Amino acid sequence: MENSKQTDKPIKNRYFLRGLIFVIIGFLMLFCLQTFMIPRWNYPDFAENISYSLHTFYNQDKNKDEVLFLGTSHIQYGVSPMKFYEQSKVTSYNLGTSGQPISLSYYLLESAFETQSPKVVVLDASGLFLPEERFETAWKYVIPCMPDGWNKLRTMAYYAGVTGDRSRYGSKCWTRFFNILFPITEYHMRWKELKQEDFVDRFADNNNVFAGQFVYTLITSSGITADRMNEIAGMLLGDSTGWTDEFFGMQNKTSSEETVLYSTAIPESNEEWLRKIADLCNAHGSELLLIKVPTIQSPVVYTSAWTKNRSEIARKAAQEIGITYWDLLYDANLSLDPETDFSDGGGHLNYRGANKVTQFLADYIPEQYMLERTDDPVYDNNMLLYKKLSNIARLQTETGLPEYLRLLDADIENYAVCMACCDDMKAGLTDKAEAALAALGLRTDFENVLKYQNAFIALIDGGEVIYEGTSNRRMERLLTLTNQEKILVTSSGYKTGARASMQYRNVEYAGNIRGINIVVIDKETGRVVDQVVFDTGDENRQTATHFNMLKNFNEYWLYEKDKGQPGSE
Amino acid sequence: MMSLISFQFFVFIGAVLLLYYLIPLRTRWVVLLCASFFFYACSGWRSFLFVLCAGVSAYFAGLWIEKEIAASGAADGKEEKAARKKRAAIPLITGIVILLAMLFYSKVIHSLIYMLADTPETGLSAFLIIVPLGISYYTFSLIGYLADVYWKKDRAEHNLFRLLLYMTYFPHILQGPIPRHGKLGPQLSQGHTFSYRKFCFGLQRSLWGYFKKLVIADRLAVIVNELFGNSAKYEGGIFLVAIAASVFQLYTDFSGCMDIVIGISECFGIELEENFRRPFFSRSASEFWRRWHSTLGMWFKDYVYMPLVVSPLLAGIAKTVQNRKGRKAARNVMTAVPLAVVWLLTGLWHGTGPDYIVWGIYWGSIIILTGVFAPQIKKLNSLLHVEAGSELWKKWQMFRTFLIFAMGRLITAPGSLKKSAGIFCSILTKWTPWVFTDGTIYRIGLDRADYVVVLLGLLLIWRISCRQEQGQNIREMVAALPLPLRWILYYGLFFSIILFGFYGPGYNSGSFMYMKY
Repeated sequence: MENSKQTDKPIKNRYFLRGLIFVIIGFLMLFCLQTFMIPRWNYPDFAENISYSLHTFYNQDKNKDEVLFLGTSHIQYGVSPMKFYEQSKVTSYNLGTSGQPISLSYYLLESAFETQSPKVVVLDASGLFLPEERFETAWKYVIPCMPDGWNKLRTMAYYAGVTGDRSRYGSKCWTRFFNILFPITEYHMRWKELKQEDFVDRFADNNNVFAGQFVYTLITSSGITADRMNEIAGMLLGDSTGWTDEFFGMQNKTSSEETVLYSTAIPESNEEWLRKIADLCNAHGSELLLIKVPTIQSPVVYTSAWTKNRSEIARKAAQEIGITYWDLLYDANLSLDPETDFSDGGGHLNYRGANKVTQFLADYIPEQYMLERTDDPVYDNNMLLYKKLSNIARLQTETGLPEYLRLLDADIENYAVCMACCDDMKAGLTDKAEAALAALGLRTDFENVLKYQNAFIALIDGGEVIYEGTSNRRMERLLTLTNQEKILVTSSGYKTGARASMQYRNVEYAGNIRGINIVVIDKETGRVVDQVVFDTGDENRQTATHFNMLKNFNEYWLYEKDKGQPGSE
Repeated sequence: MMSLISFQFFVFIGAVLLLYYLIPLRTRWVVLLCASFFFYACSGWRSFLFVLCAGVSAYFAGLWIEKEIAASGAADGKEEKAARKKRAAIPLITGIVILLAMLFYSKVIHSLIYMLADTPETGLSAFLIIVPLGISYYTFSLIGYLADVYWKKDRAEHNLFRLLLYMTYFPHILQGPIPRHGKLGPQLSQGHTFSYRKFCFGLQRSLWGYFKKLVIADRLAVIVNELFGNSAKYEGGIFLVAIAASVFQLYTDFSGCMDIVIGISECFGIELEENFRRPFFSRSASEFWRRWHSTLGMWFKDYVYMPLVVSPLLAGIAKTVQNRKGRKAARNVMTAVPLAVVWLLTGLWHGTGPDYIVWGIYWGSIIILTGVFAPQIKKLNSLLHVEAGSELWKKWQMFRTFLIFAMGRLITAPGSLKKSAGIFCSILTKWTPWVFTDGTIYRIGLDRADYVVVLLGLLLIWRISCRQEQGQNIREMVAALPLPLRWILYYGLFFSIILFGFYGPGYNSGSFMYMKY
């Protein structure tokens, strides 16, 4: 022992201190480096811009939000805090993230309570049915955005345990914990793709104008009604045994196994998490409201389809815990149209659907919970851009030509509108549509001069008609906008090639299908904000086909932020 | 199994180091033993039991040999001594047979079960498959130990646990180097005091190893796997890229691992034998094998080649040849036969497939023929007025050795002889030089930036190797630098691994190429 003490003497304090400083500097450099290496998830069309949404939330003033929305992408798409504020003057924030398990909702809420004191926490019930281990990416998107601290460490530890392939504390879990603690292990290969934006704006004051909502304007019909969805679910629930009959050469083999085609059971731990969330809200003096943002999709293709069975089970769970539950699909009459109010076959609400849901919540929540209605300077400031983007979103989700033209007319000073006929636009052009075209300032006699299968070109810039013309031959015009930018427009009727083309900044924007092809350019940014074709070539069947240029509105906002650098174009 | 490139391993090594230097000096070997057992047990308890059996067998065989040798020393008379010596050979042979049987079982049973059973992953078949970690390495170490005890070059280890530590010492169990008990055993048994200098050197060396492995070897593995794994998709010159990549991949992978394990050992104050001495500076095939995996070469030399050379059987054969064909032929037999055996065994050590046997024959033939025709080659060189001492000639010899090694890689790297032959024919018959300029090389898994990283990494290794060849001690040079410069170097190396390394989720960088042996 004495010998050991004697020989250990060379361990000098100086060396120890030097080693310690070396390690500390190394760690600091490592953390700094990994800050730049983590993707910001704000790239267009990627992960619904979670990073911007969460950073904006954590950068807000303290105790600002009266209401917090939490849950999966259903609530992220389906509730607009800005609309909520516009309607009720109550501030709120949407903390919904893609595939958010209820356990992650808990940890997010815990971190939210560190800076905010919401009176009401609104949780979407879909997370109740999500197996928490299945959505690994949901954790990986959120955790890097959480503020550093004990809560983040606990979230990491839970993530590592729950998504590890082996036992909760097996070796895989340690690796996962290590990887999430040092995300650079996962993202270090991004050194090849680092861009300027990975270094700048990193610590800037983020300001997500949508307060967390992911605005989506794509219209994709859900294809079925809620009744049919429940009918299908009933069929799936009654079929729990799978069987297979096969021949391998002459040998016949029949096998069967218990398989679940659609589940209505809440995973064991999720009910406990709901209780924990309720307790957490209680402890912070907040009310918890469990809602379900409507989705209508066949359970055959979407295991999270929201059927009546699930709704009743969620209601029962809420009753047991003693919290209010509102199913906005079955309990409220929101007049949602499965044809036009959903974005991806019924899986998520689009801008139109989200507005209906938000309107309902804005009427219900402040009243029910007696929330204070005040003017908020940040929200008021954001409202200007929000309204501008709302107008664009309205254009992108409008399916009737007269209505569309009226929307354009209402905001015409902000747009340059280019039109070109492809094949024919006359056969189904209604009086209302003609009147709306005339209201835009067009002088063409659509009733008498424009004939069946004629070409037609028009350009209106800020309300001023720059050019309009019609012909029974192919037309090609190089038109100049008031800002001197050029658009090369081509139009030809059925007999001369049935084609429409609108080339702006060397990019083709025309949908080039039958009817009136319209391209709308935002005058301020010079960006194409909508591209649509109304098929007025058929008097019986008029359809609108949107080729959305701004499916992702945060992209537009980012563009606004860094003017002159278009995103995905 | 705990990989050298895993979070668990870094935590493990940190804990072991802390514990090692915290407890009293004389009991520090116990920490190493427990750590080695733990490390080994992580690869599976059945493997661990298998290893214990081998260790216990060697332990008793060693004691028995020592007893018989001691008895032969004490015996009176030449005949009595000889009889005793013969008796000592019994435990030696028994021990070697047991160890080789276990090696054979582990290597062959695996292939056999796969041949016979449809689903070897389950049931009895799965139970029978035991592939202990580093079985070839510890088997060779123990055979060497028994032979050394028999030849009285070493003393038998009387403490079973110390022998087990020598056998399973965790840094070297994965890929060697193959240690001698006489050198490593005492180092492991005695505790080492903390030396700041050694500790820093150890970390530095490990870091260098991780750089070689993660930045270069694993990056090159992408194209090697793509080109050799899907060889039917490619043809012609692109395979030259695969061969070159495969050569550097093997070197940086294996020598990188050696740097890691030698570095880790250095942190404990233990010096392992060097396994690589800049092999690409070799000017002949035999020199190459003295520089590449040198502990294996030395093992074969000491325990196979030399016993064969001095064996009465070979002497008898040589005598017969001498009587019939003359002295020169006898000398050739004396050189060629042991070398042929050594290279056949070396081939088998690397793998039991026909490609490895051909590979052994390939290397054996080159080395034997170079020896046999040495006078003729010398004569030819003088006829051609080759200046043997000129730099140009030396460079050519180095390049020639590199090509020989690359050809050897072509035999084993593609995975089967048929594939190797197909690739060889494709290189010779398909003229496709445009693959180097038309962007094909960027479509095989690596992009331009990756190639730049690989080339810069190899350039760095080359520069350092050149300096080392000139006798400069790079580590001492680094240690002599002012502190800020030194730290910049360390941080630079560390962050280049962090940024440019192939690791983390989605990468399988846990395994090393020589770990399967």
